[in-house]
Amino acid sequence: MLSINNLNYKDLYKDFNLEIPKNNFISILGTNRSGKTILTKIIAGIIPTTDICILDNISLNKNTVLTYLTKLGIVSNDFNQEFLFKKVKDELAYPLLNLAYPEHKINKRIKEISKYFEIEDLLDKKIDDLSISKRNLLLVIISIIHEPRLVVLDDAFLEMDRVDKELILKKLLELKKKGLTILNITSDLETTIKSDKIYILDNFKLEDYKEDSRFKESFIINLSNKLKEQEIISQSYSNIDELAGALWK
Amino acid sequence: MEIKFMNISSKNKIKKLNLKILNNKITGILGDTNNIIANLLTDNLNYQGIIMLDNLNILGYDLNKIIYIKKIDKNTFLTKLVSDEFYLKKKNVDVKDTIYLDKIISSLRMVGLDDTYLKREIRMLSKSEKRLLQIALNLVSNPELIIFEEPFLYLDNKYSYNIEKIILDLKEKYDKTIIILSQDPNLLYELTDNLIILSDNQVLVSGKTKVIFKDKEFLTSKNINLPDILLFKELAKTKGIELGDTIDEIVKGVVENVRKNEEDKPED
Repeated sequence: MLSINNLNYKDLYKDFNLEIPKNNFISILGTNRSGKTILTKIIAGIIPTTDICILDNISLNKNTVLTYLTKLGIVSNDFNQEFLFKKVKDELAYPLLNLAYPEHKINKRIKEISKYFEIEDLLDKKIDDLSISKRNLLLVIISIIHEPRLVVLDDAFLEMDRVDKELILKKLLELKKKGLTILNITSDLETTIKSDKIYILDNFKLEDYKEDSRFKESFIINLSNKLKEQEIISQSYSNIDELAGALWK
Repeated sequence: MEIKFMNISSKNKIKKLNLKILNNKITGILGDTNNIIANLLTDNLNYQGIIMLDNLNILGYDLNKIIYIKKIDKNTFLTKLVSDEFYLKKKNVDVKDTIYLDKIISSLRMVGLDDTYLKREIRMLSKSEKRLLQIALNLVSNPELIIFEEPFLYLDNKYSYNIEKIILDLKEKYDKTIIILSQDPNLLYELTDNLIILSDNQVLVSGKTKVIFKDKEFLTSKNINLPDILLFKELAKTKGIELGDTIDEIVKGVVENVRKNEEDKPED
């Protein structure tokens, strides 16, 4: 779905390669200053490259950038994404207006996606009246409203509360079954538990996942890891109900 | 520094807010309007009522002694270079240039950065580096009251641990008063002595953190999440299992319970 081939960027990324297969949920775990945000910017075309990134058979260069971007959804905690409109509904419509969707299609899509993500009651609310967690939830929904093939989440869960984080992860995993590919670039171990594959980005190099104390473990992951060591359960959990289910069926 | 808000009202927002923040404690403020307290203490927000800092009206207080480390936005830094940003702050610090440079370097080191950062351009720093720089910049002026908004946001384990240690040292070694604004019940449960929960600019509840988080029914009725540790203990309780307060006690309790259940199972 997405390939990055022989990326060289300043003295940082050297002959860097990445392959994200179709319909996968891939996580890249990185500490501070590991190169996460630069990678996101390269995939998003914010740092320009020529024929390094290939998304759904489109090789990113200055001639293809617009087509490439229609296949991509992106949320980043580093781009200072700001809302442009007062109301949630208008914010959801904006990416579709940019893609010249007719009005009836925009309304249909907003209805559909708000029902899916259980935010119908927020549609007529002002963005200023939303909690920080809901604003972050909205950013993820906006990123996929145009039905991209790949969504890149760069520390997108940082300011979400547990309920919203679990809702988004559950819904994205369902969308994966319908053809969405997810790349989760994060420092939060909790959001990676259900990934098909986890990599570690360390000093601009990609490695396979191994336990690493540099990443934040939530209480539930920490507890389930300790119970796993005692052979009480066989896997790690990030969700409290799933852990309880495994312990007390 | 003890802070008293007495009958504070403002246009459309606050109605008769009464509140006390205790000296030399870490006080957490939870709720979507939690920055109102920080704004009252640091902005020229128009209000009626009285704010007392150590029994002195805030109007007569040196506000340079209060720092508010907000989340990073486009107004956080005003200059191009890291060193310029420090020298912009110098007007609040009455020391000679050579001593000030030592202070800058020790402040940078305290947060985990070194003096090579002084020559760096701020726009080229990552968000975590900007956050650490912002904390270093604010600590150089030796404040009395420090307000942190989401102190660990953007920081990985290593840097979060470092900032947590700084917060605890500021309280314990340097007798500072700390306010933490956060929406994360886990962080507030672990780090704060006292807690204030605000809703629609009004105080919903205030008191000792551990006591407030015990009232599950009240918090749930107000849509406030419990810390994960308490949520798990509550869940275990519904299965008839009483667990301890630390993670090791919880692991021990769960292991004993699961093994006992296995032993009690009739064999096939």
